[in-house]
Amino acid sequence: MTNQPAIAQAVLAEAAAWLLLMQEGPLTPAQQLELECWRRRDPDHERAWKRAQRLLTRLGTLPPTLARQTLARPQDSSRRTVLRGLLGLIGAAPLGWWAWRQAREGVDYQTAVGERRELLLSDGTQVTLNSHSELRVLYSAEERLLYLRRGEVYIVTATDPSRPLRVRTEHGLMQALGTRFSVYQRPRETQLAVYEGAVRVTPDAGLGSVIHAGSQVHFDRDRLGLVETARDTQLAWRRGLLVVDDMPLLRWAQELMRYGDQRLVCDPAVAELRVSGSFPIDDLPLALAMLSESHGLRVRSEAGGMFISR
Amino acid sequence: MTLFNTPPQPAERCAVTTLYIEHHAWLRGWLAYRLRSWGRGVADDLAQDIFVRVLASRDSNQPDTLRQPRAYLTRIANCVLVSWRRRHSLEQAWLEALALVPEALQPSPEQQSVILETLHEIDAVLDGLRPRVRQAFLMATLDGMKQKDIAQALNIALPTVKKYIHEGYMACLSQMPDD
Repeated sequence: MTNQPAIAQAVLAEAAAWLLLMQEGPLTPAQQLELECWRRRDPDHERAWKRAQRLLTRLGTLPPTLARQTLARPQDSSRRTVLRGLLGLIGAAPLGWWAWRQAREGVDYQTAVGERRELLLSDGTQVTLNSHSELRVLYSAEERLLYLRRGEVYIVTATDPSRPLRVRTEHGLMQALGTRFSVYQRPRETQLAVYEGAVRVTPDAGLGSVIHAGSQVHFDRDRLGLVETARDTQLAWRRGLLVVDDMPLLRWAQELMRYGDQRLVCDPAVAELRVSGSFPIDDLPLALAMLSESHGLRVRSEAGGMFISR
Repeated sequence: MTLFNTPPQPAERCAVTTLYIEHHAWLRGWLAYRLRSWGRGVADDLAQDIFVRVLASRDSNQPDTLRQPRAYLTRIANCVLVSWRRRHSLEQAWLEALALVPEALQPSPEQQSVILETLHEIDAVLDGLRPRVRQAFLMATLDGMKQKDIAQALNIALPTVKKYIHEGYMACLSQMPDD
């Protein structure tokens, strides 16, 4: 390593300004020429530009989604690091792709509480059913209709320009304009989260809208709620995990209750406590042990269920 | 390791040895308390790292080392701890992100280690940036988002987006070594 003097901040700022320009779009021939001239004007300009080129190369070798999810982690993750290693263990458990081919039309698929199921439909569309869900598949020559009667489904659509793919719940109709999304029907509302492409959603008695990748929305029969950010970690249930960041304890408990018959009761004093981390959804005692360990809570068994308190 | 190519002078070696013998147990205890959820092994490893750093910096602040050894060790230990925690949380986040990718689409183990090392470097470089700046920079450079889309997504003005991304590039350029 040669020990050269530091490059002046002003020079680095100019190099950064060029990078900024290139980030927005390809340079015009005139700009390229200008950059060439700038590099030749001073050896330090060239040094700065060599660094810039190396930076672009390094960034270019990274898989974008993975890299962003990794680098954009919450900055104080001391609580989550307690759970290290667990994800490796559980994530490695093979779920397997149920290579199940649908033979007839109008088939019902169901999962019991705590069960998950992956399906491959006749058109190549991949479907994952979460715990306690029921889906009816109604394919015709005009459309591919999935009727979600209960629970949650994650869908990766196969392309078929002649037959739109639609999902119906008690609250409205969704039409896939892209490839990956999930639908979760709760008693009073449906949640739609879009991970790739877009989905047009129309409440039964209200105005519709198009929801794009990275967004989610809750809706009932009358109206759409606010559009929020959807995260891929919401799909961790497919791997048997609940991955949460800053989730109120009460909601955390509700989420886990979907996967088992055990009731969870929160002391009102801790109901709003924020929970972060990855928890197994198929092993409630372990999830509760992790919760109490990482967030300093106590869990005891009572007649009405498990009681969580300080 | 190049560190040991030039052995310390006898007097220095003696000082470092004394430091090691007298304060090693204390330092391990100090670390073990801060890393209590991780078990003893991590604290021991880091204690070792810290003494290696002391050896490496023996020429510059020897008098200080001897006068207030624990204050000196604590200062170095804090640096080591912060960077260890950062590396660790990055690895955790990486595993979480990776777990969501179907196995068939995951990078090979070799690619993964190269990617992770690059991520560590970039993470360290971006460490001092404010969260919003970091976010805007990552959206631009990794996701290839247009500046006006970033402005919309983060609900900030376009000139601010430009300022943030520029700041991110500056952080990278100023900390990169010349090859």
